[in-house]
Amino acid sequence: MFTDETTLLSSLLTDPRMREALRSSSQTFITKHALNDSLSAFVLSLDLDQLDKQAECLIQKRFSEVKMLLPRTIAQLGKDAWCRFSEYATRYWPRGHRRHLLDAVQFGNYCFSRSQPFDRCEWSCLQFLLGSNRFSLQWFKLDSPWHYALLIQWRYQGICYFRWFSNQAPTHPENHSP
Amino acid sequence: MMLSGLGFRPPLADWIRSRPSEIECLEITAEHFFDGGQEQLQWLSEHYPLFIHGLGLSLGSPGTLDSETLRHFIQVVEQSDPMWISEHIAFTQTTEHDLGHLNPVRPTHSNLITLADHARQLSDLCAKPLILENITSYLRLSGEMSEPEFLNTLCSQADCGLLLDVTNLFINAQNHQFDPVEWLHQIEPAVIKQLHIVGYAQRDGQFHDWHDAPIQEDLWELLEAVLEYAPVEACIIERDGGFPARNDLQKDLLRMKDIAHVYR
Repeated sequence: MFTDETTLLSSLLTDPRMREALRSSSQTFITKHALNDSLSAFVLSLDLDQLDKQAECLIQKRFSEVKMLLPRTIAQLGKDAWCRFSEYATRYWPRGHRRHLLDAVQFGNYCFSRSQPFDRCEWSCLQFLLGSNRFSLQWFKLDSPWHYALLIQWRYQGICYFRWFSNQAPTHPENHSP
Repeated sequence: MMLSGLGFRPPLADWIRSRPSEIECLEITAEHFFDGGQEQLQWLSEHYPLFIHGLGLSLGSPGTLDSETLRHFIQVVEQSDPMWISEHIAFTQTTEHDLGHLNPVRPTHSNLITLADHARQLSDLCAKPLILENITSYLRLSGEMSEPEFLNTLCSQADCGLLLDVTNLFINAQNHQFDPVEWLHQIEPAVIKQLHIVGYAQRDGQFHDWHDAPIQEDLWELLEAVLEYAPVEACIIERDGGFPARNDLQKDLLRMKDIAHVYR
């Protein structure tokens, strides 16, 4: 039950199924959500193409932030990156000022759970940034049994640092917080 | 005299710390200092006039402001003692969703009350003058008054100024086909206190505010039209990505100062 335009617009922008329902029949949509006269007039006044564009823009802006936080994962996903991200992003809307970090960590989880390419090391760095641990030591097996990596992270006066050691030289990230 | 400056971003930190004469003021995004960085903030406040800019207070959402975001925002203001603070004429969240970015509010009397109440509350709690920024949106919402009329009334009811984003005005004008100078001339000139400007992007026949491009000639022309029209006090280049060599930013800042000099 919607009581104001902002909440209704917010739901339309975050839920593609609601936008599809509105596009297929505005009257059914109004009846289903029991919209009052004022909210009915509001949804009928919406330009649905503009609404779709605004909704896509919200996902694009999130993607551009996540691209900066998970550059290696996005590079590994290649041409599929945008598709995978938009699939994921309509189901989860992170809250608060750390939402970009949360988004990147959740997107990493999403890729992992669907066996998509995913860089565990950069994802671990973001998890450390989100958490409150002062120190972390992690050992990773890379793409072959004799390639390994060691990731050491620590927090000092609110700033996170990390060092990365690997015997697969070309693939290591820079040694600073993402 | 109009101050020219930049939005503070970590990739520019070293250059900003070297105190180049082109940078006369800085705009700080409050959210970037919610989790720390107080020493850096203190250094910046000791060396530059600052403005604190909010992204996530969602002044256009009905109901109360998010107490946690508000608490953090006030802390940043107290630590930095800015000349003024700013937020957007937009909503970014509701009780159910955080949309993460700026969305338009319809120019209605009811939204005017919501925005003006939130704006006054923010300004009172921070004990600082507040200015509100126009946003860019692919979704154009019509209401009970025109957008300039809505902005003029809002500034009057909330006792605040306008942060006119020249790029947002230009992009909206292109995407929704109206004349930006005609729009500008419907705004009360005295309310325009500060400007934002950054290059726009173009893709798929639309204009976008990706904040990663150099300022284009048509934007410089619109900036001149604004400075000719209104007594602007500060202008900020709002670059978020695709950071150019310092020389390019220096050139833009110097050009901005030259233009400002002509109109003052």
